[in-house]
Amino acid sequence: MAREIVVGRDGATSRFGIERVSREKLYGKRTRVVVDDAGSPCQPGTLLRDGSALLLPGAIAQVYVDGAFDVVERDALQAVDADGRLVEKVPSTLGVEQPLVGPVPPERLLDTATTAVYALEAAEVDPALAEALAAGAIYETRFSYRGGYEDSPVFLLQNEHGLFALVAEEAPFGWLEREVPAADEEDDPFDDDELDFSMF
Amino acid sequence: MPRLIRITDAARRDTSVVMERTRRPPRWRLVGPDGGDVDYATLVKTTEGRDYAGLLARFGDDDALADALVAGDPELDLELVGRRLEGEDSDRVWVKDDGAILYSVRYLRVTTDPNGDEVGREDFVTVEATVNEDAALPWTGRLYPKDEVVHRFALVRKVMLHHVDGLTFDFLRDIATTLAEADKMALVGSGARGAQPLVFQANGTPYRGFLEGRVDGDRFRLVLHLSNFELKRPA
Repeated sequence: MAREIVVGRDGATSRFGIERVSREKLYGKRTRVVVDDAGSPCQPGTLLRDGSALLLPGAIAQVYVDGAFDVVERDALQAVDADGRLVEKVPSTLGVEQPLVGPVPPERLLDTATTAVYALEAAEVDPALAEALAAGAIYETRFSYRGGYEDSPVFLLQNEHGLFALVAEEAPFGWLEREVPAADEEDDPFDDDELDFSMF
Repeated sequence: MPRLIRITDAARRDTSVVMERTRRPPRWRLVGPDGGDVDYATLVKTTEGRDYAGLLARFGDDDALADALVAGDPELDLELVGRRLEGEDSDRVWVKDDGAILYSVRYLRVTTDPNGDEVGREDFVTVEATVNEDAALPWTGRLYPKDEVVHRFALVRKVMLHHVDGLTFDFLRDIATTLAEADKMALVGSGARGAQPLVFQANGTPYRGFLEGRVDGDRFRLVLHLSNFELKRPA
């Protein structure tokens, strides 16, 4: 069955097929490749400093271990909040009707950072919702692709290229006041910026 | 170290301020079945020559390899498998097809189109950062309604511009007030006219920036929203 975002509003249900949109799919990409003198691509390896082994891709495992250094299987892990209370798992929202909120102002979307974009194919749409989206309205609901310990806000909107769902994460900033001290000198917002050699 | 950005206002004045990211405390953490803490560990899983291809070369054929697997554990190097790797235990190297370590590497930039087909291959040239405390980003004067920005661009990252002293507080608040009163966002780019992308570190992701201001009495927020692709359908 095709994966669908299903939303409900004023008693009417709308269903949308989804297709992931990314920068690579739109523009292609540029990558850095390491080659040897003959121009043949090389693969990354991990050389142990004591010289005991050269580990090639696939030779390293990343696992969770407990205090006794015993491996804990992923399906045995549980999540707890700051107070140590168990956090219930959230099921996937795909194919399950989610209540639609809105229209929301653009500032609501600007309070979040987009983490994934899906192009939507309308399978069954409430005419009133279709009309509102075509007029530029933005609606919000909840989204989790596979399920997990939390879902995310997702915004539905339409432009001249079609309908889109923008999956997001909250990105709250506080207000700045004159009394607020100067910025944190330890913070570097781009220290985790991945190397990306694609350019505009 | 704080990351500085040098920006220009509509009056062509520029100054350096700090970029600050949003901080959202994690809502949960993982624990074991007994509620005890767990740690994420990197372990050696297998070693060179102990994979299928290596063992096949060693034993000659599948039957001989099967016999060896039944008789013992030739796939395991018991001295190394399960050893925990810490960051300081190893070095990253590049390895040729024949398993030899590369002592001199050559970097290429390979370009692929949206279908994944290679369309270009050339020597790699480092792309320098365009955002720093020395080069002022110009005021482009190009203002877009918020509604248009959120309908056209995927805003994937954002940083708040934070004052470093009283003068820069007034400078940033004035920009925020200008944008809030216009209810628009200002396009921010690098280069003389702001037409080039924002690159925050060498070979980093290139972005278009959109500056948004909000004011609440004496308080304000000036946020630089960053986008690296438009809301379009793949061809």
